[in-house]
Amino acid sequence: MTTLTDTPKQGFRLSQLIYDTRYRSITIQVIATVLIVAALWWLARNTVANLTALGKDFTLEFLGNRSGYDINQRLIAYDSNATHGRAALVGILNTLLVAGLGCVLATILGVIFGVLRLSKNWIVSRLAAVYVEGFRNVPLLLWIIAIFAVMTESTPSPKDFRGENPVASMALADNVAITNRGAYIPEPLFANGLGDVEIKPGGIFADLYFNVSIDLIVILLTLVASLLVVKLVNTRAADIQNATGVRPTTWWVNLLIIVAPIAALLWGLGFYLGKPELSGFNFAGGTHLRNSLLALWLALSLYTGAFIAEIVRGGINAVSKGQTEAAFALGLRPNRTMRLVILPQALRVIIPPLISQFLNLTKNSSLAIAIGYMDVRSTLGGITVNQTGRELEGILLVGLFYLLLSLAISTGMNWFNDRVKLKER
Amino acid sequence: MSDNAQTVRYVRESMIPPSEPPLKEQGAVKWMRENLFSGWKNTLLSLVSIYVLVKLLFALVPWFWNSVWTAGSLNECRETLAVLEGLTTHGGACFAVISDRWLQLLFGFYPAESYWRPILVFILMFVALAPILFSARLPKQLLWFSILFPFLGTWLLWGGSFWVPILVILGFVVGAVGFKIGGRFAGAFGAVALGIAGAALWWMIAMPSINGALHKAVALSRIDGTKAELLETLVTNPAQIDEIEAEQAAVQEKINELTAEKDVLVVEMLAAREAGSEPSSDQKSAFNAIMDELMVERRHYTALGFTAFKLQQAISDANGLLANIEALPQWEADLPNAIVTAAEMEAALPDGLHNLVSVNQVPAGTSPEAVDALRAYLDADTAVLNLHANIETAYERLGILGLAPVTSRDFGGFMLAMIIGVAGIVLSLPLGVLLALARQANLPIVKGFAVAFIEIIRGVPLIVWLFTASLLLNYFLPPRTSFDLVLRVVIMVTLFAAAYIAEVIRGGLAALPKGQFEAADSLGLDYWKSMRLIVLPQALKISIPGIVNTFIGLFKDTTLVGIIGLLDPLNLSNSIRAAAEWNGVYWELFVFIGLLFFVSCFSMGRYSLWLEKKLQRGHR
Amino acid sequence: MSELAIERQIDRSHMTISDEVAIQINNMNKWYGQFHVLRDINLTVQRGERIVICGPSGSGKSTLIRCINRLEEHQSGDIIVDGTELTSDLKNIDKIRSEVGMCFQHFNLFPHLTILENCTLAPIWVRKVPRKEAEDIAMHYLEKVKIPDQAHKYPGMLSGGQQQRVAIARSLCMKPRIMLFDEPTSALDPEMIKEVLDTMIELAEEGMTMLCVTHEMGFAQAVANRVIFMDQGQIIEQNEPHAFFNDPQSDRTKLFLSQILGH
Repeated sequence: MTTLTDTPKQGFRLSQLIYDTRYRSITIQVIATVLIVAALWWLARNTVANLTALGKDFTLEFLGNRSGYDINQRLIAYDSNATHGRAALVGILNTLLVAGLGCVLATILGVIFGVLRLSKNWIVSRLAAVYVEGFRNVPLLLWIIAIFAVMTESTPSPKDFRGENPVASMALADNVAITNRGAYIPEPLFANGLGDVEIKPGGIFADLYFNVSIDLIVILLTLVASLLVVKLVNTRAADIQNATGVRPTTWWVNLLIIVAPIAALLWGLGFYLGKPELSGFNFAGGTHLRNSLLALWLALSLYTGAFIAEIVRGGINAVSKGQTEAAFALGLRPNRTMRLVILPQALRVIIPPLISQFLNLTKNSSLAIAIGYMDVRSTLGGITVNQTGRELEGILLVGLFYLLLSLAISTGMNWFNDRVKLKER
Repeated sequence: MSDNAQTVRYVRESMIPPSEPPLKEQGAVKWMRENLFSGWKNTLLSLVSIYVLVKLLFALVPWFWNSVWTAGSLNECRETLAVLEGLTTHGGACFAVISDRWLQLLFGFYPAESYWRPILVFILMFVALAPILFSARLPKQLLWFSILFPFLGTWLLWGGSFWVPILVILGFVVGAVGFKIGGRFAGAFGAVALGIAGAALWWMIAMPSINGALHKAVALSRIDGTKAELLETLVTNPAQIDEIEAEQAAVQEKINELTAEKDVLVVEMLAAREAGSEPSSDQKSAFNAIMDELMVERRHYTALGFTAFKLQQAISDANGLLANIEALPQWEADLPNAIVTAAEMEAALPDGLHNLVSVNQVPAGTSPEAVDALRAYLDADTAVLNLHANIETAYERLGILGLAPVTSRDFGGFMLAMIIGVAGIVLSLPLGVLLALARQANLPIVKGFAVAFIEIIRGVPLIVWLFTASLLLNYFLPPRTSFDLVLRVVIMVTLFAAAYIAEVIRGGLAALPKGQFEAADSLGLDYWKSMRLIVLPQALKISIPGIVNTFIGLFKDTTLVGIIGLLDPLNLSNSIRAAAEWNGVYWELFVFIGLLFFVSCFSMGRYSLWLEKKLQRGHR
Repeated sequence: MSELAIERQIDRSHMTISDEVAIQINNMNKWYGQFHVLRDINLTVQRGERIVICGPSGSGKSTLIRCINRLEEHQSGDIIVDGTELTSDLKNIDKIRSEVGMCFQHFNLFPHLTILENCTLAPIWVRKVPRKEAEDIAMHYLEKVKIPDQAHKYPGMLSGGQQQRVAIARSLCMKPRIMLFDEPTSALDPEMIKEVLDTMIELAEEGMTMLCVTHEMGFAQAVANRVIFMDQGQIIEQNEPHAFFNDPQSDRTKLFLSQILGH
């Protein structure tokens, strides 16, 4: 028999590393670490050997060199004399643009079709089901290419808008021209605008120069201020409700608070819309939305919207029927029941997978390459790589960009989850 | 007790039989009232939906209804539409492209005479899946077939000698034996180490030499026969080709006649339409007859051309093989000398230049003579490697005993999508299980590695990983190793799927009641035994719907391999459009490809939904 | 009898039955598709009555009380609650629902709201009561069901019995004139049934009109002034409890009682 005092006397035996539960896990982890580090070292050694064999090295200097290629869609100033770094930035902004637009439209589509699919109306719910199943079960790439083909193959070319009896005409009271080169929509202009402010950092951030329209900043600030006032009004309305039981009607006050200052500001700045106009063989003026952007945006939104519709449907279904019944039995109207009882519960179920759909949409925007949309993978990971021969660095940077974006979004999601988790035993 | 007992007393004398609901409460009227018109909002929604539906049907139905299935090119499609229906280009679909190219969309450029191989693999796949999906109703022994299927399938698809899959399987046997022996003498760690080492040694050293030896033996045993056969091919094939070409000319003649006849008819019928009258039904049936005949002749022509091409290929193959047979003795004689020379040159190299694979690697300040010596040595070394490769390839070609090899370059279409999808999921399962266990484990470092791997893979789009496979994988492997793109893509897709599968299985593990883990521990099972016998079988079963969903996602994502140059269905549709006769066909191809994906993904999705419901019921 | 004999002395001073009609159901029929669930129901409930409805599962007893606040729609006949006829008119439905409280088998508390918020939700949004006042009412009823100290917890943190008592308090906060109970104790463990029944007895003692679907025969004996037995969607027998239990008339009633009481 062993007694308590026996154990310390025994000392350490080698076999304890394997059989003693105290040391076993350390042993396993040390072995795993050694194996993984060895594997990484092996990969790194191979890479170095291969790079030197090809006469290459690993450097990011190419980002500072002249790019020499044009990018057809750019949100910031760029031309072929700018650097590869600048080209990457243009690509990153294009990725974020299509991802942002896509998330908004996909959410709208998803919520609409998710709710329609739950509708008691047979034909509506069937149509919604056809949309959801149709888009979910066909590869996204096919949708992107097909929608792009619709836009380029079955729309008129700008020259069809010319002449005495043009084949095509502009839509929405001559404001929008839909052509096989993309859509031309009116652009906001300011007669007495305040100009731009130039932001020009130095050092390694030298490529991050851009111009910001002061008009835009002023408008945004006004909007934020209006929203703050609206929030105040709502808080006050809640206070009144708490005190008297009756909630004053606030929607028209809120509408006024948001609309009036902006309208006044726009009037002061001399806001007008610059219509696209036909000049020569193409349209001039207005904002040109390229088909590649429109097709990618639509396809991503329709595809992801189908998944979001299922999430919304699942979320609402996850709230048991008893909740609705209890709310009805208490005398709450269907609208209030939705807002006060069903939605707060459904949102907790919906939001985490919704965010991961946003993440998927952002990653899927890299399919831009199929229709020539210049996102970060097409600029930095495509043309730049081809021109400089820096596959390793280019693809590594692209991967890193997506990874950081994903990590940022999922960190946010975890924070949100922790905040709204249902409190239970 | 109660003051109203008299009023409440009541006993039913006779039961009321069930009756039909009132008329307005049943039938189509009630259904419509409840489901379509139960309030003004609902009515509005219904009307809008019906309007949309009717619009859609009016746009799509004629297009499908008037579709043309027999035509040799898009122009002929349009001609047919114009003369038969009086329709413009977009009035009807041109599904003739599908009847012309559907085999290509399914198989890519896989040799037509071997189509039975992928088809057989596809059928066997279901046989292999059956014991996993319907475990309750089938004998356990069938699982052995499921285990053997990956090897059998690979062999059937790529071809080669029949012993190759057996040799690969033997590697697992060697590993298992190593595991047992190691376990007896050095405990769990020894077992794993010896098992892996044994299998690795077998695959990397023993297997290539056994394989080479077998090929050599077979090649030598029949070399005279082979030579005679090849020489005969060189004599007979040209004659056959001449015959076929003569026949082809005759068929071409026929085609030309039919085309001329058709053109005359088209002019007549169009003239009739111009004059405002419908072409007569005689004309229409004559036109259809000519088109049918034309298609038959065209197919005949293509088939003849294909045979001639095969015969031609056999001639060039025979020439190549004969040259190999001629050269083999010389190569074998040269090899020992070349090895000796290369070894001497390496020995003579100055210090610090050994183990280099390129003159680019020489350190700064090396003398030009040393660099030249290195260059000479590297050339000699390359020569040795080339000789080795030549001899091995020659014997492999001469000594093949089994199925004709097919290169990955020729794989394409839905077959490729299936191969990448299925291989990705099947190969990723073991890795996914390990990652899921590692992520659950109570070992911070191991867990950290697993989390990092999973998050990195999932945080980056598949397309970036595919570019990594096509552009970067060669950097990460030892110099001078290279293997084909399909294999690289399968490796990358496997790693990609493993991260997703790991998350699915983690969900399955989390869904298991804690009692199961505790019960396994209390039975005295060690970690791996409790995992293998108790936990994993249950967790995997719960995870099947998730695995199927991952597979659906992956299957759809296989279309991305087109972007790095493989011939997935979408990329094939581009190459079909590149042919002059089908230039401009979009929708018909999209509809066909989309429909195939839809049918497979939708049915798999339904299966996983059904399974999920069944599992939920089973758990209650 | 049920093992859960009601031990306490019941105060019947408030349990008077007025002549005023609380609920009037005339020739009511309901179908689920082709299935005839409720057949020709006639029932008059005076104000202050405590009615227990029992019967085998699938007999339509839950459906009957769910028709009273329009959680289910009936297809023919009339239901008049508190002088208001139940039609598809939303105003009438709202009026009736705010007068009729209901407790469910599975409590159906709102898991995202605290106990207090559960209780104040309807008074604030339906009755337009100021929050402070609503909270006072809620605390009053929570004290009544003996769980005022749990007011700021979430439903998930409470036991089943406590949750059901909160559900009762939540209904009472709307100051209903009629309470419907749909098998309030059948999802509870035995030791929790008593605390819920005690709450219900207290409610009865205060003269609340109650319709209760339950199999707690002890409760029926002690509190009800009428027991209704249903089978196959129709009322088979009704009587005052003593007579109902000791001298059942119909064979179906006898069979049911022998099964449920284990004689």
